[in-house]
Amino acid sequence: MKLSKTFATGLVAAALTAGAFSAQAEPVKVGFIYVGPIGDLGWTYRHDQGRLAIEEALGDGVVTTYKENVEEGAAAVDAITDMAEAGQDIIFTTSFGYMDPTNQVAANYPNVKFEHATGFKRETDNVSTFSARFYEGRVVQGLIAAKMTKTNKIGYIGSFPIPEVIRGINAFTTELKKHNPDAEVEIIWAFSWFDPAKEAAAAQTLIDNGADIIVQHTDSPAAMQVAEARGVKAFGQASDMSRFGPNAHLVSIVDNWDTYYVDRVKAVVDGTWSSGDTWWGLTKDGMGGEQGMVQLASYGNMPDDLMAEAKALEASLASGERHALPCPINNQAGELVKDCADGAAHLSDLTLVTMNFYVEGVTGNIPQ
Amino acid sequence: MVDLTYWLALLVTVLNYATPLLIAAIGVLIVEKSGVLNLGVEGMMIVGAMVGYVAGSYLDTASCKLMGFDGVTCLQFEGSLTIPGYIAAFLLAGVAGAALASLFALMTQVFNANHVATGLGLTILGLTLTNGFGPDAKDMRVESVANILPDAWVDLPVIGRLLGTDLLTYLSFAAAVASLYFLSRTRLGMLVRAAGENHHAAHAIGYPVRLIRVGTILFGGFMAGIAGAYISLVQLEAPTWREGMTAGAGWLALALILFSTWRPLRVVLGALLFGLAFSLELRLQTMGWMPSWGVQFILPSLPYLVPVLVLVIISRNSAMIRANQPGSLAEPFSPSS
Repeated sequence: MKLSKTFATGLVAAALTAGAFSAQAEPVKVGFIYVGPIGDLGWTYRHDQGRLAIEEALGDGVVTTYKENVEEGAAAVDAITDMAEAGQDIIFTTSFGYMDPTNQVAANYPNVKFEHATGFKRETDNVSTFSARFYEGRVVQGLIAAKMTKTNKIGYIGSFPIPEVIRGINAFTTELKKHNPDAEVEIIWAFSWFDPAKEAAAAQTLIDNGADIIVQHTDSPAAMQVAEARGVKAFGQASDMSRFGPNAHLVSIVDNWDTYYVDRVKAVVDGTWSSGDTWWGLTKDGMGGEQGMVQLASYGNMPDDLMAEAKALEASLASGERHALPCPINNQAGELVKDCADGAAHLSDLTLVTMNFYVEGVTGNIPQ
Repeated sequence: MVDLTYWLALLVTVLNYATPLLIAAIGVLIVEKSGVLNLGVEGMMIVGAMVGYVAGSYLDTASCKLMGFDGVTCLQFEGSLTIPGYIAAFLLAGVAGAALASLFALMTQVFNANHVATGLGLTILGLTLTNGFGPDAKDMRVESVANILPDAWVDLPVIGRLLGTDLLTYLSFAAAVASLYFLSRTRLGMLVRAAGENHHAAHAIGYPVRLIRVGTILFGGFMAGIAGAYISLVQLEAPTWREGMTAGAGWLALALILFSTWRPLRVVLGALLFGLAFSLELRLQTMGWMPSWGVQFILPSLPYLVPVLVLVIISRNSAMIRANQPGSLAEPFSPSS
């Protein structure tokens, strides 16, 4: 009895050692959950470029896999569970709507690392969150739109009324009004991240209503194509969309996940991965450091002096000299926002992360 | 702000949404007038949408080369569909729709299968054939589509946008008028109606009922294919392919025929009404007085709620439906029986 127990313990120990040993030699398995197709030429495309950057940086040390068009919400639980069951070491879930599903699955698979994009919930210590300060790019767009519009009407296509999108609307409108108080922003909610038909129809409607500049917070280049066809201007989103609007494209906010993704997978390989929250803007530290997650690409179709002014604004945002939303900032009722009332120099990250109100200058209500 | 330009823009949008419904519905009208009920319109449309888009993406530079330009010159046309490419892409989409319809013709006219079951099968087949194609389309792009209409029309102030809508919008209205003439004034049209009203009588006096029906079924498929390609290539001003992108337009075309009680000019009226429902979705959102549940759930279903309501109202008066409904609609026919 005792002998067999000792023997069994030895066997288990041997198996564990062997297991650990082979785990060392085996490549790290990395999974990605995408909300759209990798061919959306916008959001999902950029995440997939990040996946390819991991493959390039780590070569044989890594095996990556992905699943496209995964519905947000409860339906995502199955897709993420499948990935965890298939033995992925780290899983990137790349849309806001995967927040609860990611945390739910993470609780069941403590040995798998999870990285959720644009969310804020980290319920277990195997979940990290990361996002980009896209709103820094919105500030530059606000300046350009203020000086380019002739009808003083800007069309804005929103996806879902979540903090990330509201933040963008607020940053854009605040800067727009600063340079052109007469300009108005009209918002259409697509209630989808990737629906080219809806995005195009939204752009058509906004232009019909008089907008001569289109801003989008959705994933496909459809709105840019409509702007090109109708002879108005537009900003690209997530990827460089200049090729879809040779005469329409002003500047694109481009996501750059490559560095972060490579860093995080390397941390898994080294065994140094730990749960955290990362939020990079134009630069990693917001103080003029290394390239962050947000880039502005392919400035064009605007006068040279405006382009120079916009690039100077970009540089001051990147160096931290200028904050995207400096105080004073009022809410729609015209009262100072709490951070500013408390004497801060600009809105705090907490206010930005949980932003669920429009600032002064934005018309309409946030759909609940 | 709500001025002439606004109403013209609304009219253009209504026409834009009405065009594919009208094209498909004219096909359905002729098919049903010959006594055949083909519920596979949605399937044929989605196949047309896909084939039109794929053809468009291959024909962009090919059509340029056919016109005698060299490869370097043609590179600048990559992604933009020129006029010969436009015509070819639509014809191919129509042929693809007709090819799918030929399966329906084979099943119902040769093997005497049930129309409803076969039609539903055709819709499922079309959706299945095109599903999973989405991810593979990533290397294909049609970035712009040429407008066949003269630039002088398109460039006119104010009304330019109305006159400069796609050629197919004009053709769809012409098709509606032509179908009226065809059904009421031509010998072939009479034959189609005879086959639909009473196939036994038509057969007894020597008319080839099954041949007529195969012809109308193929025509219906051709029209559905073109309607589908309009959705993927023209409607959005941003040529796009996506799985299931016809989103029930085929069913709306079928509903239009019930709405119109098989009368061509009422089909036009219905198409405009359904087109208006589509156009209002985002416009009502921008007006801002709708509560958010309405914006999120009621407005997107407007184009489908309107037909349902209209059909409920129409079906209260069954005499109106019976007056024009083809007598042999959806009844399998075998010459030997």
